[in-house]
Amino acid sequence: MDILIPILALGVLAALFGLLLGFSSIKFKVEGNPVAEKVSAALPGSNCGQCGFAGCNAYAEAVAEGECDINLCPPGGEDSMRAIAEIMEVEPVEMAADDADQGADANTIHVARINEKQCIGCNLCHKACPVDAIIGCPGQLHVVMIDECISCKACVKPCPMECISMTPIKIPNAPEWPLPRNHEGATV
Amino acid sequence: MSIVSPNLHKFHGGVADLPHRKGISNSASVRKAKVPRFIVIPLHQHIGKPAIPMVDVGDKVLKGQKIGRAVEFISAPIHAPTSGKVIAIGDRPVPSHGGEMGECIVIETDGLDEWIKLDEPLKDYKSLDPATIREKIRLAGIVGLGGATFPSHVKIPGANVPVEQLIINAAECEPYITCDDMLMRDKPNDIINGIKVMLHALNAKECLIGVEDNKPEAVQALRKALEKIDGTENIKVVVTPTVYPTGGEKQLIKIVTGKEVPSGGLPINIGMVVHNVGTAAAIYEAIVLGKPIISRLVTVSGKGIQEPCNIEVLLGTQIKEIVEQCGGYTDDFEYLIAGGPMMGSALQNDEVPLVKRINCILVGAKGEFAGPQDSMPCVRCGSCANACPSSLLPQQLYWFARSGEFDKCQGHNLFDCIECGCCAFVCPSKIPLVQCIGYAKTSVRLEQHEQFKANRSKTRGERKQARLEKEAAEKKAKKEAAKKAAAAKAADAPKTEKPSKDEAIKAAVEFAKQKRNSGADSTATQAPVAPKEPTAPAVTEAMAKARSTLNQTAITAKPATATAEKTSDAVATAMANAKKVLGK
Repeated sequence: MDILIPILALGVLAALFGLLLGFSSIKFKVEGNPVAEKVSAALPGSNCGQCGFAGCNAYAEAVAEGECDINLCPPGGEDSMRAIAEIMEVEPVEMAADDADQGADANTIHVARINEKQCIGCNLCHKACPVDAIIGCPGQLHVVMIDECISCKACVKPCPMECISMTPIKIPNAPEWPLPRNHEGATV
Repeated sequence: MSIVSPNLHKFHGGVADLPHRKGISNSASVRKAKVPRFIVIPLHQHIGKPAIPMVDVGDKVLKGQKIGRAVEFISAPIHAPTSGKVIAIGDRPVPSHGGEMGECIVIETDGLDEWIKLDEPLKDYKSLDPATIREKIRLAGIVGLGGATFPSHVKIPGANVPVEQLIINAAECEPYITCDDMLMRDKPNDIINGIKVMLHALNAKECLIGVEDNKPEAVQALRKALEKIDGTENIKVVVTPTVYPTGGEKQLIKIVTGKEVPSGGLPINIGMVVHNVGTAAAIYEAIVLGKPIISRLVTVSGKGIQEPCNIEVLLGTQIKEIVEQCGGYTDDFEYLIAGGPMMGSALQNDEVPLVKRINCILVGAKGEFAGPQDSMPCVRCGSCANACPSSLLPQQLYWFARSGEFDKCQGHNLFDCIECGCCAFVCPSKIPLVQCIGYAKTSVRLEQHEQFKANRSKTRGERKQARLEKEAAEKKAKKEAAKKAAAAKAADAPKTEKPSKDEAIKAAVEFAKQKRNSGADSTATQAPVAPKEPTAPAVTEAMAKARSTLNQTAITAKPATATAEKTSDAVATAMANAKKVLGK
C-alpha cells in the first residue's frame, strides 16, 4: 500500500509539470527564430539571391537551422561570415572560392560596370539589381551607380549582351595608416 | 626677458624640450617660385567630397578661373593657379602615405600668368552680410591652411550659432616649420584685416591670436599692425610658452582661455572658432581683393636641402621643381616628408604636386631623423600617458589596436587622439604608438563606412521590394477596376446584347464545327475556303464579344458557352489564317 503513495505523488507532480509546460509552450511561444533574426542582421539585407536562397531572411533561417554553410554571402564577405560564426558559435570558414579570387587586395572592391558600347537598353540588369543601383530606361543606355553597387553580381548573368563585368575599384576611404611592422615584417 | 603673456593656462602633457630647428628656414627672406611648365592640380585637396572638373581637355584657362566645382557643403572648389591650356584630366600620383593616385587637372602653362577679370577691391567689408562673406569664402576655395584642410566656410557658422571668441592659431608648434612665422612678419596687415572680416562674419566679441614665444619677430609685427589699424581693440596677441602641441586647436583653446572642449566635441560647442593664421590672410585676399586661393607659402627645410627657405608656390607645382628652386638636394639627402617631423607623412617620391595642406617640405639628410626602429617590449612606464595632450592612455589603445579590439579602443576615447605623436616620441621602448592608434582610427572609420553602406543597401533593397509590391498591387487594382467597369457596362445594356451574343456563340460553334470537319490538320491554304468573305469580320467581332462576356461576366455555364469556349481558340487561329490570306 505504501508503494502507492510515491507513485501517486510523482504521478500528480508529473501531470502538474506537464500541464505547466504545455501551457507555457503555447502562452509564451516566441514568434520566429531569434537566432535567424540575429543572423539576418549580420547580412547585407539586399536580397540579391547569390546564396541560392530567396533573399537574406531565407538564408538566415537556413543558417540558423544549420542547413547550409555560413560562407555563402559574397556581398557580406568575410566580415559578415565572421559575424555569423560568432552568432552561431561555430568556427569561421574560408569564403566560397568565387569571392576569394577577387578579394586579394583588401583595399579594392569589385563593382559592376556596363560596357556602354554594347548595352542595348534591355532593362534586364535594372530588374535584376536588388538595390536599384542601375539606372536606365528601356532602349536607353544603362549605368551602374558604383557608390550603391553591393558587388552581388546579380546583374551579370541576365545581360544578353554579356557586357557587364565586375571591375575593381579602390575603397573610397581605405586605411591610410597601415599596422606598423618591424624589419622582419612582423607586427610590432 | 620672457615675452610670454600672463594668466595663461596649461594643457595636460605635451613635450616641452623638442628641438625647434626653426632657424634653418626663417633667416632667409621669402622667395617667390617661378611659374612651372606644367601644373598638376588635384581635385581633392580638402576634407570632404572631391571637386568636379568644370573644364575639358583643350580648354584655355586663366589665372584664378574656377576649374573644379564643389558639389556638397563640406567640399571646396579648385581654381587654376596660372593661365594656360588644360592638356589632361585624369589620375596622377598625389601626396599621400602609400603613393596613391587622385583625379587631377593638368595645365600646360603659357607663361603669361594672366589673371581672370577680378571684382573691384572691396572698400567696406562691413557692407556685406555674414552669409555673403561665407559664400565668398566658399567660392574662393579656402580651407584650413594649417594642414587639416577643413573647408573654412563651414567654420563660419550662421547667426543662429553664437560665437564668443575667435582664436587664431599662429602657434606653429612643430619643429622646422616657419611659414606662418614668415607670413606674420611679412603680411601682418593682411592677417589683421582678415581677422576683422572674420569677426564681422562671426559676430564674435573678441579675437585672441595664439603665438608661441619662439617667434618674437612675428609677435612684434602683429602688435605693430594692431596699433596701426583702427578698430582692433578686441584683437589681442597672446604669447604662449613653446610646448608641443600648442598648435592643436583644443590645446590652444585650453592655454589661452582655460576652457576645455568636451570629449568628442568641437570648439563651437563652447562658443569658440579656431582658424589658422594663413587662413586669415587668405580670407582677406578673398573678401577684400577678390582673389581665390591659388598659391601658398611653404617651408622648405632640413639638412637635405641646399638653401632652406620659405617660398610662395603656386598650387599644383611639383615638389621636384620647388626643391630645384631651393638649390636642390644635398649629397646626403635621404627622404622627403610632407609636413613637420612630428605629424607629417613621408613622400614616396618628389613627382607629386603641392596641395593646399602641405605647409612644409622637409628634406631629411642621413641620420637627421630617426627612421623606423625595432621596438622593445612595453615596460609600463606610463610616459606616454603623461605626455598625451588629450589625456588618453596610449599604451592601452596600443594593445587594443594590435589585437584588433577596436570597440575597446573607442571605449578609451580613440577619436580624441589628435595624432600629435608625443606618445611615440617619449616612449623609451620606441614603440610606434601613434602609428598603431592611427591604424585603429582608420580601421574604425572603414568599419563605420561599411556599416553605413550595409544599412544603406538594406534600405535600398527594402525600398525596391516595397516598390515592386506596390506596382504589383496597383496592376491588380487596375485589372479589377477594368473588370468591374466592363461588368457594369454589360449590366447596363443586357437586352440588346443578349440575342447578338447568343447568335455570335452559335455562329462560332458553327464555324468551329466546320473547321473540325474540314480536318484538324487543315493547312493555312485550306482554311480560307471555309468562311465567306463578308462573314469574316462579323464573326471576329462576335467572337471577341462572346469571349469578353464569357470571361468578364459570371454567366452560368450553359452547354453552348462551354463549347464556344473550348472551340474559341481554334476559331481564332482559323480566323487569323483567313485574315492573312484575305489580306494577300
